[in-house]
Amino acid sequence: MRQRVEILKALYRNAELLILDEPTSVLTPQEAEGFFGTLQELKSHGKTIIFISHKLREVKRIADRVTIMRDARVIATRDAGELSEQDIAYLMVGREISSERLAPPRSPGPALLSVRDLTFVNEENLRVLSGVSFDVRAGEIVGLAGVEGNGQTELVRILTGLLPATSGTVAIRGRAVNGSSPRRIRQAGVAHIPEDRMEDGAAAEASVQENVIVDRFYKADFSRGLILLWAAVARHTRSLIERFHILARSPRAPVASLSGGNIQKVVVARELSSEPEVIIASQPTRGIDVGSEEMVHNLLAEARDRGKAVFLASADLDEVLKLSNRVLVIFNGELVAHFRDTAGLSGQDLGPYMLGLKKEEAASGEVHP
Amino acid sequence: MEKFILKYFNLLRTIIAVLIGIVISVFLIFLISRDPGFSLQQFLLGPLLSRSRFSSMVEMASPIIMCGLAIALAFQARQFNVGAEGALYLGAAVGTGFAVSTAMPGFLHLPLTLLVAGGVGALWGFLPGLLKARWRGSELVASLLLNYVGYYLGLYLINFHFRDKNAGYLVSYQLPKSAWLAQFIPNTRMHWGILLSLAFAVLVFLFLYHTTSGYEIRMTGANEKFARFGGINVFKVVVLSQLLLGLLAGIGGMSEVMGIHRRFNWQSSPGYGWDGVVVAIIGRNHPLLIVAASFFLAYLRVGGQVLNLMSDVPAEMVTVIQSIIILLITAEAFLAQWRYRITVRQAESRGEAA
Amino acid sequence: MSAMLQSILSAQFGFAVLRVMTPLLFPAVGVAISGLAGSVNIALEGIMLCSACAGVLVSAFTQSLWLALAAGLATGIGLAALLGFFHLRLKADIILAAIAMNMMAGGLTIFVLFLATGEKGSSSSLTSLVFPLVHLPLVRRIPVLGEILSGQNVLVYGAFLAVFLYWLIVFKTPLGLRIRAVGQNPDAAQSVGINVNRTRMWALLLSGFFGALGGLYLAMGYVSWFARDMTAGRGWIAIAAASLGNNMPLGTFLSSLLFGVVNSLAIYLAPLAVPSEFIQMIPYVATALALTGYSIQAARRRRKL
Repeated sequence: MRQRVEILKALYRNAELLILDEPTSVLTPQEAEGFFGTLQELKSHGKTIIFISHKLREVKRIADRVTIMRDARVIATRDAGELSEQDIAYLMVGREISSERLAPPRSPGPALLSVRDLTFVNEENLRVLSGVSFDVRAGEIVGLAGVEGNGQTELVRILTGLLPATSGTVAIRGRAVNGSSPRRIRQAGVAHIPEDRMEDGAAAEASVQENVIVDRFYKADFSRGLILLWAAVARHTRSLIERFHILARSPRAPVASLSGGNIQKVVVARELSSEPEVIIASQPTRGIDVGSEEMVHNLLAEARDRGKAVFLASADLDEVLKLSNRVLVIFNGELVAHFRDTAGLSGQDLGPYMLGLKKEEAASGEVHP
Repeated sequence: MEKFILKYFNLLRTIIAVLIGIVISVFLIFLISRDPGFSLQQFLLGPLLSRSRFSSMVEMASPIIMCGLAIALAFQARQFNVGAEGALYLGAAVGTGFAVSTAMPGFLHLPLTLLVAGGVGALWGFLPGLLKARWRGSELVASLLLNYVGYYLGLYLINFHFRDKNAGYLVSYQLPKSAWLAQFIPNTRMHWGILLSLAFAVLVFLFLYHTTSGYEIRMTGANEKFARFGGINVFKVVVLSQLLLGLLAGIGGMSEVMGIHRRFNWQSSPGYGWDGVVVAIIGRNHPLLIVAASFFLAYLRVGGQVLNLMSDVPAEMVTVIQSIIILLITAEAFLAQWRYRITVRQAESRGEAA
Repeated sequence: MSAMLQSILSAQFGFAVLRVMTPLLFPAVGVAISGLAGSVNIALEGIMLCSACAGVLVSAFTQSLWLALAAGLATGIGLAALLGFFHLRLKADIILAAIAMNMMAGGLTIFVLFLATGEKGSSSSLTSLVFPLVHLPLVRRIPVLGEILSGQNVLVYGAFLAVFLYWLIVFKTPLGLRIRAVGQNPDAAQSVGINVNRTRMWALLLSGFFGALGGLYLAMGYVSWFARDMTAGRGWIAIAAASLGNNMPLGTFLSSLLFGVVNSLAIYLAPLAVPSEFIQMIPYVATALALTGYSIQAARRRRKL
């Protein structure tokens, strides 16, 4: 809804040219349809619209002409009719990209992350989460779908110890971790890919090597007593740079000098190399190039296949559907749907729940063995 | 050449800011002085041409280095505690009280006196730190207020408890010889405290860049949310960095009392704590650059004193110049266009080569 | 002791409180308006000092109050503009830039004073002017209240007016709306077409204006000369007062009044057989305690919700 308000404001100012940067990230599929209708109408009134998106389907759906950029260069400008989604993806990355689902059904293990009756009331006395319960088992990816701002951010921060819950419990591998510090939770085997890499995930002016040891610098591999062993840190960083294909001049290059995709790779490399049992990923591919996106997706799927429990909160429904074995939908701080099987599931099925039009009674993502 | 400029851009920027400051001071001298040539010569060469002036420049650099290191520790954690002045004054006053009211051999008296002064200073740095870490209160305002409180408290202690009534003015009793830092070059007042401050510079450098605590301080300063996210105990860092600030400032003040005056004779606050802020900014919070910046500031200061004595230009000109220099250094966008143009040119030439 | 109590409960004490409060209230309003826009002006300590110096020197050499007022205001607004330029255009950290400006003020005023008078301590060798006292008609006849309110320096009333003006600007003008929007969420403000930097610059200029009045009162009303470092931390106390008042007009006024009372008490306690260092410490200790208490309260409120 906020987007429409912004548009109205723009119209109010009699804009002839509208530039929209990823405008649908806060909309449900249904809302996006309505929004596209508005755009068509504006077009028919002779307005010019530049629509920036990484969602190929939307681009195909709305655009008359498509310009594809890669590495700061314009690769091609074509009529939309001439291009298939596959073509666009190929031009964006320079190689074939698979958009197949990465969710082979496997029999999951025991619940590694268990959340019960989680409630959170924020500083403005608003109820942001109420009665959220779910499990994530070893060897599965549980997706959390929902329009942004429905409590996902707070949920993830509570799970990772960055925010104290008002009530309810969080257990990692059967041990309650309520009120534990972020370090304790990490030591219990949790990794966290945060939704905003520049806010939480990285220190821009610090070097790559300083960024990748923030959760482990005190461990015996990297320090003796008070002394940091920079040689060991540099060796470790070089191996991560190689393993995760990070484009960085050296371990000592400042993170700010990397591209968005490579910064995200630094974050993902750190989190996945900590040998976690539980991975909490929030918007793990927001604002990065398609190539890096594919890599992050494959890494998460691999971790799942190695028996890790992955919790994926994302506003990108395609991402949720591509990766998840089960899907939860959150609306207004409550779980409103639980899809135990994602085969054949589509964004259209989730939309009514995301908007709060439909609701399962007492929905929870718990699994009972 | 251009690669060199990019690599040392920050250093070059600092040097250019300093040069602009010196040009402005030359301009001011020509504007004010009736004999500008002579005044200028006194200002720029005065500190270097006599043994005693050169020595007083080196002596002055010592407490400035200590306060600069102190401020840098807090600034590296992005804590805007500017309480070095109060910590230095109160620390030295209490340290003086300790030294004059105890008797013990030098090998104990020296370190204990420094430690008492440092401890009191640490308390003075700790208070704003606690306020910030625990309740998100402004450490900046708190430390500014505590500067005044520390000053009056120190003054009270000297005036009412350790005052030498036989001296004609407000000074403490002389410290016992066991608490003197020896002067080691004849006809100067250069004392062991100077070497102590240089040793501290190396120590703080190693601490910041080669220890886990230093790493925690720097990461908290670079991005506090990131530090918290990664599991760093930010509360500890916020308190520790400011506590260390007070510790170093207290030791710095005490060492000057023990090495030069041998009694507490500051009726007004000596201002080294603020000089510490200046050199921390000029040295961009890097311990070794701070040493260089401290000698530079002491050079300007002594130049200002010479100017004051020998010509018609007041020493306060130096304060104006130093403020302009740090204003320029803090201005991120100052000369940023220049770097940007070079970066673009470099990128383009690389693009052509490829 | 009882004589002292009597003098504290007298109308003269109320009179003194208003006098003492004024050089805190002006900068507190200045801090508040800049804080509301999200770029707290902590250079008011130095700005007050420079304005005080400019006012005294211009009044001494021209014997014109109006020119002195103009010079003081121009100095304050000019320095605020300089701070704004460095912070907003040259992207300097506002705290560091303000610290630099405060240092500069300390040196520059002595420098200029020396050039003008040959002295570095105070301007006592000059005959500078003071702003006039005003006897309020009608009000002066009210018992007690009249004694407190009437006969004050014109700038004391100016300080009350400043609070009202601040309220007017913030709540009744488009600029005030923009200032609040920018302070609350600069990105959102920018997205609806508000020029964030220009709004902050306006707020800083206004803070310089109010700070300048505080400095002018200090040297041309509170006392009748300029002395080095005569602001004595009032600019810092003002920051505490503004934050205690949540940057709001009434709150800022009330906390400034509180500090005015405490500081007047300190003056009245001076004859006691307490070391003068402790008396002089009172304003700073009281402010630090108030700041601590406020921070604890605010933290509790955050936790409870």
